[in-house]
Amino acid sequence: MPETGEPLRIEIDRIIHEPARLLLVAHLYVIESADYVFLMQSTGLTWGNLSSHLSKLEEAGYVALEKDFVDRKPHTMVTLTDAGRAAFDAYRRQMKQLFEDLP
Amino acid sequence: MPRATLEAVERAAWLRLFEDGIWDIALGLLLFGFGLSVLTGMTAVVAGGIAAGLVAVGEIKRRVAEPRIGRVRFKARRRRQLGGVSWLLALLSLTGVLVFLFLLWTTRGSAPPWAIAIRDHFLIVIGLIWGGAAAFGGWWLGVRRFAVYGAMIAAALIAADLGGGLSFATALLACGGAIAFSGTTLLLRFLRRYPRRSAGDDDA
Repeated sequence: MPETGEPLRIEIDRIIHEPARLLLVAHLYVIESADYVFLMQSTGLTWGNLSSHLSKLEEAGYVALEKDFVDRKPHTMVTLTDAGRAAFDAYRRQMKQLFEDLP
Repeated sequence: MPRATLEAVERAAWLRLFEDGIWDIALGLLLFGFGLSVLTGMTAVVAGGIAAGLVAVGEIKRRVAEPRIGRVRFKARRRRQLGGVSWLLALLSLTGVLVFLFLLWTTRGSAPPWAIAIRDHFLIVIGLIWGGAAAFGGWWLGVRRFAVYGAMIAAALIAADLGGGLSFATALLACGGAIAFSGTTLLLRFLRRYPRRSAGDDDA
């Protein structure tokens, strides 16, 4: 802990820190994969919100989208990648550390 | 996020698979079918209906539940739990055959007195096996209401054996009807709670 009055820098993964994305990553962390409908029902997000947050997670390399066809309709399954799993583990450790010493 | 909460997230996702009540309806109709076959003697027709119904369960789940709650693949531990149910059903079928062979054996003159005593109370044996299997399945999957169904099946068949005003057929019809009714109530609640969703739906 520095003894100067410099502001502290907290290294938090802002991609995961956003509440809706945190919820999404938490769900994908405990299951293997799910489609959009399952994630919508589990998180309460709208289709538009879900799509936008999954795009951000995909850009960060945290989720992988696997597209196929079910009954001749396009269907997407979402999986947390190894990088996403590691990032979520790191995020949990950081948050735990951050609040550990609070009186 | 603390571990307990992650566990709760996983458990909620898992239990959603059983919220539709379709397995409850299948179990209820299975018992009801058995009851009908005992009552009417139309064993072949009822057995055919039961077999067709069990085959249809997967398709009904795919058409009714999946468009509403989506598709999910669980980790290996949960997949093993689902696989365990198939083993349980196989074990139950085998037990049924063994009970039948045992009953056949006791009709011969050479059967010892203990075997005849068991034969005279075979409803208790069947009640404990079927009720125990339903309760074990409920415990194994973490779906507690199946334990209640198990207790109900065992109690009804034991009451029928002890002459509690129920015959074998009416015990099965009553249990099957009650379980199917419970499943139908769950299904109606499920249909209200989870409207059908498709790509681009944005009214959540």
